[in-house]
Amino acid sequence: MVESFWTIPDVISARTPVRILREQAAALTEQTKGALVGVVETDRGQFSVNLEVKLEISVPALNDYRFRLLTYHQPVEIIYPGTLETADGNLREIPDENSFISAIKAVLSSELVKNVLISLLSQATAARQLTNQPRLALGYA
Amino acid sequence: MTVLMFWNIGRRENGTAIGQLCRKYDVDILLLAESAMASTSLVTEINVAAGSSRTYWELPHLGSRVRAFTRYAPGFVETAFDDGHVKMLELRPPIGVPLLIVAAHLPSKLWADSQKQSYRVRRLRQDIETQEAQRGHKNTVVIGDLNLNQFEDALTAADGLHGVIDKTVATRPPRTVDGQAWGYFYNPMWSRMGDDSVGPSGTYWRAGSDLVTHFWNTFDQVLLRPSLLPYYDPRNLVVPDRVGESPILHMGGGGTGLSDHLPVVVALSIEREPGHG
Repeated sequence: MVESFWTIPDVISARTPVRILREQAAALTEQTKGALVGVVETDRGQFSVNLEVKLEISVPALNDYRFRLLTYHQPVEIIYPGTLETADGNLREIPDENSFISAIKAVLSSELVKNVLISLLSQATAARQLTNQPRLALGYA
Repeated sequence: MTVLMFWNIGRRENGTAIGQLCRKYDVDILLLAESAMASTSLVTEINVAAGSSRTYWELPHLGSRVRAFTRYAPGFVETAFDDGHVKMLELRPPIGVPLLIVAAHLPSKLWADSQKQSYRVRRLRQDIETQEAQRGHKNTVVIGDLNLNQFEDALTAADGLHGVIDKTVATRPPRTVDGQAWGYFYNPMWSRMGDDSVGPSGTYWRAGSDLVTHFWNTFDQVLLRPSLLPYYDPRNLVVPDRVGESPILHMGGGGTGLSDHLPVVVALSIEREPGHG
């Protein structure tokens, strides 16, 4: 057998930013019973060579309106350090996984995100109630 | 991020190309000029090409020269004004500050001399100020085919749009001329002129036989009230010059392009103040 010079990284068990954010996205969807849907997408940055990992809230009752909570700007060749951009436009350096988890926790439990959740949940509920009303109530004969 | 795209498609209806651009730039509000295709067919083509679960729908057309499509749910966008050449939309997004979107397709230089064009812009300014007063905010963005370059008097004059080249100037107190105060617009299209600028040299190409010919014109523009500058990043103003691999302009030969005008796309981070949702 040929000796392999490769060192294949264990990416299956690694908790990458994408994986961590997907867990939080799923938790949001589950806790709101699908009224709000967490979405994680990864794109090549439009103006840099970094990857952009985005966590967004999608609201099915509002024609899938999306609100972006955060973007992790991740270098292609390494996972950390990267830069976390939050919905208010602030940027912070993320040196390692623990810092990433702490930062995500702080963002998702912040007043700003709480206000966003209240606003979107109430609007989603109102839109659903309007859709579920009998047709007579909407003025149809 | 709220993304607006305006495109004078020059009567070359191509919902697929429009939808591809909507997909690429994640467009929320699409504004089209010189488009006469039936709404149902056009919306279907755009939605298929855009390929998103967020479907576009058309606001009432009202026989206007500007058509508006959006993927915001009904209730968040409404037509505030429409005089045939100018359509104003009030956007109150689920999260973020409200916007007054002024989409214009002003008369062509072929049919209107400079006096008529100036008069039309003065009327536009009055109509904008009336709507701003009624709505209690000045979060106004003008986007459209103005059929004027940004350096022409109609756009720079105090009683025109008073569009200036520099953000710092735009945020100064209104300028007083003959005892009347005139507020500004910031015109970022000054930074999109010529071959050393980001993107193409202009938005409309015409190689005429007149003594004065600019070749590249920037008739398709975006102007912002100073109150929107905190939500504007110059990287988020784009003039696309191709759809996929296809150049948009035909550059006067063959008619193989998708239009004689380039689109303009601008994204504003108006959701950064969630308290206004």
